[in-house]
Amino acid sequence: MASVLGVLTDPHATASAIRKLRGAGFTDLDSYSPIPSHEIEEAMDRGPSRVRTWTLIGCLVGVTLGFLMTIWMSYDYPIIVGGKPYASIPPYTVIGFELNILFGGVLTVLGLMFHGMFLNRVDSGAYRPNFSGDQFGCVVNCGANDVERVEKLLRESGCTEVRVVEGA
Amino acid sequence: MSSDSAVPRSLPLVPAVIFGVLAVVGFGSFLLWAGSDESSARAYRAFLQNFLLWSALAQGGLMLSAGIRLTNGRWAGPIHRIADSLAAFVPVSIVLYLVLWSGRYELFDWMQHPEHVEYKEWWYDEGFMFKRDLFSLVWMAFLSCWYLYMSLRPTLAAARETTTGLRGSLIQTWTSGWRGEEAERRLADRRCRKMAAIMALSYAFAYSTLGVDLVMGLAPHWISTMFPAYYAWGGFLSAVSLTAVLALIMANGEDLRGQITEARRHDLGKMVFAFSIFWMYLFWSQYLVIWYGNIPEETGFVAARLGTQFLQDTWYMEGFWERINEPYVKTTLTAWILCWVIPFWVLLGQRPKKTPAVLGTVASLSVFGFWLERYILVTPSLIPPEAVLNGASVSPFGMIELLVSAGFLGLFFLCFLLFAKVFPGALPKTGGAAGA
Repeated sequence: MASVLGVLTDPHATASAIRKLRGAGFTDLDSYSPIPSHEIEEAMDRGPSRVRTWTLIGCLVGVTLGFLMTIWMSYDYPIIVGGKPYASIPPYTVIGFELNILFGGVLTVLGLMFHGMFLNRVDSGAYRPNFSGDQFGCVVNCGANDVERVEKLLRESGCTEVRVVEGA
Repeated sequence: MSSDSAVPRSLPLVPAVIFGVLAVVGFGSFLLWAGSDESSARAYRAFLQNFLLWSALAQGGLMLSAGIRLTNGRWAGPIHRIADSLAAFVPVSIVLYLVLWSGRYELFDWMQHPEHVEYKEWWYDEGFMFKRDLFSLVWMAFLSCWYLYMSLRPTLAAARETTTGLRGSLIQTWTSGWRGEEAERRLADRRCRKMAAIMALSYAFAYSTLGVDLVMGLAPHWISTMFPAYYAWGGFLSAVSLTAVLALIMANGEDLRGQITEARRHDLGKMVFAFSIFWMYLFWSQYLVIWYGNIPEETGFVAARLGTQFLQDTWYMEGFWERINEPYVKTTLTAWILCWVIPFWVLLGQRPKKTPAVLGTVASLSVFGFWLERYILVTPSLIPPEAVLNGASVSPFGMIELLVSAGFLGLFFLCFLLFAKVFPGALPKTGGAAGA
């Protein structure tokens, strides 16, 4: 097993290189980008993010807590306001909605940190500081026999530098 | 040639004939009914319902285009020309307002009984109302025409060379003092962005005023500080929905082939989804304080549409179905479901937003929902639920309502087609690069 790194300077060329490699059957890929790019994300075709499960759980917990908390408080300290029932739908919808957003947002950040920092952390030998500056990287994991073909594909895609990476 | 180029061509025959017939039959029927003692009030109610829908929608279309320009949006491609073309109806709505004004005594009780609006006479004054509403419409039409002139002028680079006859001379007039395409585009971009900001503010003022006068004026005792914004936003949202529908309908036609990409459908879906939430947000903000405050001046308007208990105020369902059967409640709920519940739940995911059949259906239902919503804003103020319980005949689908609506629909789309296809031919015939 070998890893080949291609260095590019343009997000469109990076996405195009990824598409070309995937088209040629190399699907074990990774990429580095100094900016968020939908085009690269779509080219990588990783499927939906697992972080969204955290968001859903946060939203459901938030909306449930919002209603339960307000209903419990209303009956725990009952005061009639405006002649309305203690626990009513219209005002508590607002609390439910707000806690839905709050919990959804907080759990999204936590999920992002969890997946980014613990589950998917890759100390790749391919990374270089310029990938957080002005360069894009495309790493292809392939069999030793395919290295030459991958290098050729990367060069054809406009890579300014192509090299085999140790320890990726 | 730039992909954003106007291409004047002839009016497509079949749609033009259909919309022309609808307009003639619809407005012909309206004139007959408006002239009869028996149906006059109902005809003017239907006229007002449609005026509220189509005038705000036409202006909302241009506000969508202005919004895209203000935010330096690059995603829309030719879609903002569809939104531009909706505004062809804006000047026509001034004429329709004058027609509406001829039936003012059928609509506004306080005009013949000023004592009904004690303490508010200064605002509910016949002459003052006519002047401010007309000024609002004329001012918006002036801004809209100016904006469209500046926005479309650079797109006529090719057409000014090739078009002959009357259209050719009109285009020559429109492009007099031509500076060259690149300079024209730079100038248009700079000027339109400034105009877009002025138009956004003007739209908020003008359509809030029209909402106050033409909807709240039907129930002048009602107090609401949120309703004007709610009405103006409804105009914008209905325009976004109609733009999405038209973009999908024309996606495979000669105008926009290959231009309504998956990414653009996704963007349109996101707008219908997000703006419907804001529409609901405005409604709920007002509903909640009226429900809690329980002040007679405020509750009447909502109770007439959502029932005496405002539908539901506790966790207990007792009496819920009886309340649903009160007059207008089902129609109100249908409008609410079409304008918010369906767009929200159906367009929540990414895939439905990108699927033309789903997005098109939801956006069409949203426009239809706004047609119902305008009905529900008008009719219960003039034929209260008590009158319906005593036998008054009301229906959004009566012959009068349907034919008057057909007239508006026909006239609106005739204006749209004329502007988009004939002069100045705002829609490019074939697009350039299909951007993401």
